[in-house]
Amino acid sequence: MTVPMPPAFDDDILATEEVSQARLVWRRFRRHRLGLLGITVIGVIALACILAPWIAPYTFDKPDTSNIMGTPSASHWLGTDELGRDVLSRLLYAGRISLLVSLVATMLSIVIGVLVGSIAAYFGGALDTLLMRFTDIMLSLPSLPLLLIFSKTLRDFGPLRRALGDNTSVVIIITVLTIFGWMNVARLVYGSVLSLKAREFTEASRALGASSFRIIFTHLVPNSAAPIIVAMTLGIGSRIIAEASLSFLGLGIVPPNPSWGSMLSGVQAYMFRNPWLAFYPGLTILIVVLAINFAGDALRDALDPRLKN
Amino acid sequence: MRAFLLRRLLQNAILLLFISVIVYGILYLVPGGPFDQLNFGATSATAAAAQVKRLNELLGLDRPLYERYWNWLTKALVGDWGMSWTVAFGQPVGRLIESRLGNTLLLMGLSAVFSLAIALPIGIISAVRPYSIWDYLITAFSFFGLSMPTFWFGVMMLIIFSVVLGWLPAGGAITPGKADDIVDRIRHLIMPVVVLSLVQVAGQSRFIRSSMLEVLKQDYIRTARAKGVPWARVVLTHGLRNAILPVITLLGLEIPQLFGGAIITETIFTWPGMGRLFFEGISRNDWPVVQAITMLSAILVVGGNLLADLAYAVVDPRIRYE
Repeated sequence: MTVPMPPAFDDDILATEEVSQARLVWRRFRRHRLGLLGITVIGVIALACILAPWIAPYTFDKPDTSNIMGTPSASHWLGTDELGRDVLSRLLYAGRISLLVSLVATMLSIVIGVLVGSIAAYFGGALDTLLMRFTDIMLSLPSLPLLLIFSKTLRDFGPLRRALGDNTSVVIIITVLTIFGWMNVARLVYGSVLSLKAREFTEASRALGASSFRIIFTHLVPNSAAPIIVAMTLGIGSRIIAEASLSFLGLGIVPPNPSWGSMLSGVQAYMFRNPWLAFYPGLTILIVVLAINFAGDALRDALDPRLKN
Repeated sequence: MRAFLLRRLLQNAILLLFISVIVYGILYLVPGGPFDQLNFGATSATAAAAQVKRLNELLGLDRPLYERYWNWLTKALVGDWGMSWTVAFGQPVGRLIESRLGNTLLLMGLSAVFSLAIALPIGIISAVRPYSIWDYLITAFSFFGLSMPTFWFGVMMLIIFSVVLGWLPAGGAITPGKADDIVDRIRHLIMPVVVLSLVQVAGQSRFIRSSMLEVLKQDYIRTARAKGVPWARVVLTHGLRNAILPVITLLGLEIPQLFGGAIITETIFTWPGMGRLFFEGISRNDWPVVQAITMLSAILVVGGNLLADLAYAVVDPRIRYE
């Protein structure tokens, strides 16, 4: 007589699938169609700009004197500008500068913001008052007038120009966007670290003899990553617009480097003859920033479902 | 309340002093002075250098920086902003600003009213019917508004409505000879006000939506409904009165953004306001003009924040400043 064996205990019934945090985030992100569309668009445009020297039909500064302000045609898909330069090629090259400037300025802002916010929150006391009052002051300044003043005076500063050559305007705009761009991140990190430092794992870490430096940078800051990443994503978009505005006013990127904003500076003089010249660079900015904002919105929901409004 | 007001006024005065030092320092620390780039049509480099030297002496720019700053500060405190250098040579900056201030305040004020008049209803609709077709449309609109480069939107408006269609004037505040024509004034105002409002509407409507959503979840809303108060009245009186509170602070915080927008908008539409004067000053190294307008905008900003805080206390009796 055979006793029926009890069915083998099936591990799969009780065990939940082991999922990493990154996978969870990606799963939630995937549900946002607009977010997916956003990163696809950003990816394609960024790739095209990076590959500009190899895929652009012309170089950004090659004039075609027989074809000035040409309308879109087979040889110039988006037409040519007031000097006969190919608009599509210039858009691709300009994207390198615009994306580089906004990316670097955002990174630097994050670094400063994280340092200021976490140090103020962790150590508290006089250091807290000093750093966060300064942050408040910076936040309450009229930023555009000051951005313009900084850009203008730094540009007229001879030694800087001699040291940096053609890249002067790129370095200047990254600098001014960083000076006036770190405060929001500082506040974000400040709030987050303030609540995290009262939690048990911080206490445990301190009891184990970890240094303040270690606690801040291996426990407190990484645990504040979600809002920082979201701020960074959305920050890139707002910096693309800021760079474009400054360049449009003639105080950002200057020739020979084109940026999406500098392609629009002085365009009012040509808008009667060829309105399309003003259309493409602005449309590119709108599409890229829209894509970034969609991606940032999806990222916010994916990283921290509690933040959903 | 009085102690609070005094403390805030003192804080603001220190803040303004701090800003003035920073701006003055940045403007004048550039070695060689603001006239370095000019050559006054001089035939030789030495002649140009002599001209620059003479001009610097005339304007007192050969004095030490702290002495010049002190001079500037003591005069500015009694309303003397100095003389313009290049934009309107020799004219007092105060008079220049006076002639432009009204236009800028008109533009900023109308934009603030206009954007709130649009953002309020669409924010409320989004919140009352969340995830409806209207909510999605309004969300899409605000995403577009927030992603739009203001200056490009302005240039596009200009091309469509002035160049192609010819419906609206391309720039300025009035048509010469038509100073009293109110219709003409309004036609000049339409595009600058719309452009300056777009970003505000996008931001404000999102803000009002989330504020209203929060309020509509409260118990007193359910109580009002249970008593049989009509839904529209619940939303518009019980809901709105509470949801509007944070918006007041938002308005105060948006003044810097509004002034920044005014610089760009006025430049595009050649609107004779302070923003354009500031831009001309920057482009032509007219530091007294730049310094004065920066200080005025800073005063506007800190004053706006203070007013917002005070207004908050007036409309919300729960708030008491100690």
